[in-house]
Amino acid sequence: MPEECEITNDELKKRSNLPWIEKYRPIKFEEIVGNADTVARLSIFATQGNAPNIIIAGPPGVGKTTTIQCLARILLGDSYKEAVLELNASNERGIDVVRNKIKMFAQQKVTLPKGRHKIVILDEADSMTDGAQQALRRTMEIYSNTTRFALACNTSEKIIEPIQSRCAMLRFTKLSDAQILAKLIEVCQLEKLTYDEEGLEAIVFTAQGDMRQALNNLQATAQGFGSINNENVFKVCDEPHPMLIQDMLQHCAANDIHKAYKILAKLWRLGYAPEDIIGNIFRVCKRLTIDEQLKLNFIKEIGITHMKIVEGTNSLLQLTSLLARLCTATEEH
Amino acid sequence: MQRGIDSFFKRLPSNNKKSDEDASPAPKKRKARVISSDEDEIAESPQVNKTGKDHKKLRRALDDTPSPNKAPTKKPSLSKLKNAVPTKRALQKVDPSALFGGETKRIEAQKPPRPKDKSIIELEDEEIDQSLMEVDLDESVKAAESHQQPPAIEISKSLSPPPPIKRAKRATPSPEPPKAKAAGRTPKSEKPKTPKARARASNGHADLDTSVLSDEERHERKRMTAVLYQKYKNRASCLNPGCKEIPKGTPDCLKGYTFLVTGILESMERGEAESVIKEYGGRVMTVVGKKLNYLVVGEEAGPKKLAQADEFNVTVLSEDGLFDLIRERSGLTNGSKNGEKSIKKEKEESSNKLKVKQEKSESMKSPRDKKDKQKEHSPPKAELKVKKEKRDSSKSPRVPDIKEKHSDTHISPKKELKVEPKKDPQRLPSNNATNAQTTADKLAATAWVDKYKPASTKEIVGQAGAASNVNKLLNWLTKWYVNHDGKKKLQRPNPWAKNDDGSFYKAALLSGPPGIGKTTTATLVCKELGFDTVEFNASDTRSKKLLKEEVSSLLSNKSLYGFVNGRSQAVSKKHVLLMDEVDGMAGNEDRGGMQELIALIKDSSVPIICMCNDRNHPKIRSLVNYCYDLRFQRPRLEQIKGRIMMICCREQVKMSPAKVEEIIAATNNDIRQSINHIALLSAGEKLDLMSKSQPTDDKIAQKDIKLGPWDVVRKVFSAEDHKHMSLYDKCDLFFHDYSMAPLFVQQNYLQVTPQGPRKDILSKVAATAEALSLGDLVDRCIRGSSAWSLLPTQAVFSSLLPGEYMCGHFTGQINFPGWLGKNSRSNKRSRLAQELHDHTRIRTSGSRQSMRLDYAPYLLSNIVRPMATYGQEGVAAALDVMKDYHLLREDLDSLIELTTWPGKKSPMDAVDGRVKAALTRSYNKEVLAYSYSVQTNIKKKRAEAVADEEGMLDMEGVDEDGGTVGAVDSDDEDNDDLELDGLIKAKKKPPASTSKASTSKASTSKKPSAAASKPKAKAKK
Repeated sequence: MPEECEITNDELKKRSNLPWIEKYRPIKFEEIVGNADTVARLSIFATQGNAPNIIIAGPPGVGKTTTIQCLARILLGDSYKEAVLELNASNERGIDVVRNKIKMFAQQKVTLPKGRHKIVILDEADSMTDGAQQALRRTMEIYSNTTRFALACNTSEKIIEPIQSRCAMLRFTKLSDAQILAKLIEVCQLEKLTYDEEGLEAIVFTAQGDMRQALNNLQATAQGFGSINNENVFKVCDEPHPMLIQDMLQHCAANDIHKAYKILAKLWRLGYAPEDIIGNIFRVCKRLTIDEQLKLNFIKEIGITHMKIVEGTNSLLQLTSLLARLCTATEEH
Repeated sequence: MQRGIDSFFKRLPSNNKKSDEDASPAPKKRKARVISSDEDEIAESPQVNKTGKDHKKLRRALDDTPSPNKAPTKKPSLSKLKNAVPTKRALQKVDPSALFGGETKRIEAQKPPRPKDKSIIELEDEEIDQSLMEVDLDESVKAAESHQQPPAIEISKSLSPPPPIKRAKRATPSPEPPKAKAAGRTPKSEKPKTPKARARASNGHADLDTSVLSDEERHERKRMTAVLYQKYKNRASCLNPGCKEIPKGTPDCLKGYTFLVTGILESMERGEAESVIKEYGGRVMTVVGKKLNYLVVGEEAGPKKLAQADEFNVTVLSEDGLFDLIRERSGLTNGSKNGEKSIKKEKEESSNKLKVKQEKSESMKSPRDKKDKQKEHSPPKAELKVKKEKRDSSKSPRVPDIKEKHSDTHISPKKELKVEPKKDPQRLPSNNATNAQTTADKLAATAWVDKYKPASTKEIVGQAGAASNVNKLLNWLTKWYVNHDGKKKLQRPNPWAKNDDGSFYKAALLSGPPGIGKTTTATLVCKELGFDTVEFNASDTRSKKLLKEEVSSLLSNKSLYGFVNGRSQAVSKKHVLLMDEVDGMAGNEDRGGMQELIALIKDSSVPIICMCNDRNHPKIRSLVNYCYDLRFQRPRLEQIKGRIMMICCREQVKMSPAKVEEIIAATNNDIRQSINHIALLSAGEKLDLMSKSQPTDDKIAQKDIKLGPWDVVRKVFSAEDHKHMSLYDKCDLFFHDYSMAPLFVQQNYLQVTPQGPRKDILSKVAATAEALSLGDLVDRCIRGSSAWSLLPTQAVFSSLLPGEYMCGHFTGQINFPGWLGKNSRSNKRSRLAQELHDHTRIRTSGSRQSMRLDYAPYLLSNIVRPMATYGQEGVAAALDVMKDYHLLREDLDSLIELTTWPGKKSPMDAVDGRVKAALTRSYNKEVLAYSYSVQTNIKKKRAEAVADEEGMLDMEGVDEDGGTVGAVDSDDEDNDDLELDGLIKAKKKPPASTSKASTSKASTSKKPSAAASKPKAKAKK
């Protein structure tokens, strides 16, 4: 969802010493990338007011907090400062804070235009204790005339049911690669970076649908090496390249240990830690497109090796034996 | 069945367009209700003439005297009737028609005798029937109507503001009325259960219209009344309580008119309607007569009354008609839409019949038609509504549009002429315009959940029934002060008693899942009964101290609320303490809160209502015993759907019923969350996003609940669930509770019958076992070296792989992991072994293990054998062994526990009980306390607390006396002194033991051994 960024140069300068992730944090709904439906819906509430309590759930880096802040900013405008209470996991949010600070805030009188309410933003709400969440329950209801709640969390299961019941649940999904890529290009242009397609793709790949990670990696690469290309990116966000590992596993699935070993040897020579390698193998294997049964066997073997490596026998031999066993598994299959 | 009766009432607007859906749950529900109907009636019967009915019934029975059925008919109580049925059957051999319930048979049984005395009683019969009918109608008003169809109601409302009065007679029926009726009506085809019944129904109707009755017709009518009778038992309460606003008329605006209310009205209970009429000076009659002016008809009105109304030319009004009448008479409205939709009765039989036919055909229309109609009608209405808002003096913000509907309808000139405004309409504008403005503002700013919060107990979804929690609570609260005036001694009810009214309890506990109206129920009930509430919820600190200080003082206060708000002059003393979310009492802040709450309940002088989600929660369990238990169930989907559709309608959100159902199902029948979702989706509506976002919606709506391990393990192995789960989903199952999940899987994987051929099962089990064992290794690795990065690997081994291998379905019960119990047992045993090891340390060598393996069996047999073989004489020998090894009496038990194999008899069983007692006694007498036996003797110490001083005095002498061993003795003395000081403070132990020692010395000859053991004990220290 590429949009024009109307940030002027002045503003850029003002924000130049911010990390990019803050610098390019969307301020308007239109700038938010991904989850278009949900955001559009919220934008309506932003204009007409009277939004219900909401919970936004989704993986990190997809714009949950940003969305809520946008909503609050548009709803409250200038009175943002007085009328928004923002608490995240870095704040203490024990049961007494809920009972005192949040309740007091909810009771406060702030003059707002009609249809607007004070907003309590609870970021990372899933890290709140059950007790604190319990204490929140009735507060959410009693003061709903004046105060609305917006919660953001990664896993909605950790929000107790009564709270969920009081909120409308919005689910954010991971951003697609295209969405991230578009945003990256936009940022690159604004920052006047030299970049090539491959470099950006590499960043997108490592980000795995996490916009924040992508921007951070981009900034790290840009500031470290100047230009964004494949090599530089992998120098920054160093992990055994998933594509290599995928190839390796495919070779194993084709019962070709030689080719598989070549890749492994290459990874080893690059100096990756065996734990990283095996961790990535595990992850890649789970989404590998091979026969389900074979995949299970693979995962099993990988698990055994993983355990051994964690226990301390983290030699190349272990990894090689894994390849051998994978090939055997293929053969038996 | 319920709907089946509708066919009798040709003129009634029925709002149930979804009767086909209703039909299925109906029978079940009915049954339950029939059973309880007796009490219900008694509990809250608003009927005036109930006794009269009984009376008449009795009379009727007497008329039928020749029949042997007299006894049963006398009693109106259903249960009794039921009992009577078999005997009747034996007598009459009536065909047990399946069409009607047991009650029907009763009437059938009456048939045969009837013809005989037909001629004689014909006249009376008429009367009786009439009264019978009345009975039906009377009772019909209440009982639960669960399937509310607000949209349908909306239509009928919007379509039919029926302005009444005799004009109706003049007016020729416009083509629209039947349609309107049809729109609000159940399709006829669904109503009768069988064609036969339908035939009968029409027959019955004919009966009413014709005055000449043949025998058969009479029977039919009997049958019909029977059906009606049965029906009123199942009668619903008003469909949509409070959905309309009762207009504010001038007092006495209905003066001089007489009314009769029949059937189920849309928005009011019948009693309510009557009181409204009375309030405005109208008179309420119970029988249709010449003097009657208006018959207010609701759904399922009695056919007899309708017929008679016909005869007497009584104007028939709908509920809206009544309201309009009030407005009209009091000059409030400048007119409302006339005749169009009102339910009218024509003088002419012919036109009447014609109409009936018309209706019939109309009512065949499918519900879809109705829906369409609804859609057509609602938008324009809505627009008008906005314009007219100012005119309305809508007092309650909940129902602004009803009034609007009336006021925005065009003014018919005819009406204008007819109605002479009794009151000047000037009082309307100034006052109300501002009023409406503010309410509108307020409305815009309130969340939907608050906006559509029930304003009276009748509006609470799923709580309409007579046996509902609302009524129970209402009852309980009303009787509270009577029950707890301190004069009565109430009996704790049997926990299994069905219809306990909770009079024993001083507190009520409402429990149930979130979002179904517990708090609403509590507050509304209190409000309606005029109690002032003091609420404490989870957002308040509720520690022991605070509860004690604040609450107890609060409860003795008087509330000025009523006084300050000018509602009542009196200062209320009636409080209710609402403890909301008692399961939220958690953490340090609320320490002791629960105990304090229980204490409060015990000596409370006010009713206390507690609320929680999970009444089986350990925190709540202690509280449960002191509370009147009211469990809230999730309302059924249809019940919620009605309300949601109503809200959609009011908010002008277009939403397909299917979609609404989907949302409700996704929220797990949680009303509040459903409303929240609708509110959220409504925004999408306006964007026209609906089509685009369709696929994602269900996902949005879904509520995430953390699965318990039971559900997890079921999902792990169930083949059906696997179909739509990815590898990631399956792994996620493990993470619901990664410490319990592996145990559950391990415990239960053998209960699964995997898919596939039988011969593979063994290999599958083997593969699973292997995976589990690997999982255990990984687990050990994780916990041992805190290598949490391995957790996904464990998920694979402990959950994913077993699930894949054993994918199938559960055949056995899912068990709690036995490992946990076994583990704690093994811990306990090793602790016991360690204790034994410690105690015998002076006399034994070897480790704890060897203590358990090598010593324990022999030690035990050495102790037990003498007692088993010599009985009382063996006690001394046994005691010697124990003394030798410095064993405590308790150690004997642990020895037994350690050495007894499962399934084997304990060796102690061979010993006589008296011998055991003797052992214990002599042990206590002879053996001095060891350092490690401190706790066991505390009790004894307390008993001798008085003798402490003496004991201490004694002791010195004793020690000196016994001090034959010079060096040790002096040592002893020091020790004793030290011990005295130290232990008196700490445990107050040694004086006891020493005093005991002294007594034992004095009394027995065991002095040396006692003395010997004492230094030993000290030495050990």
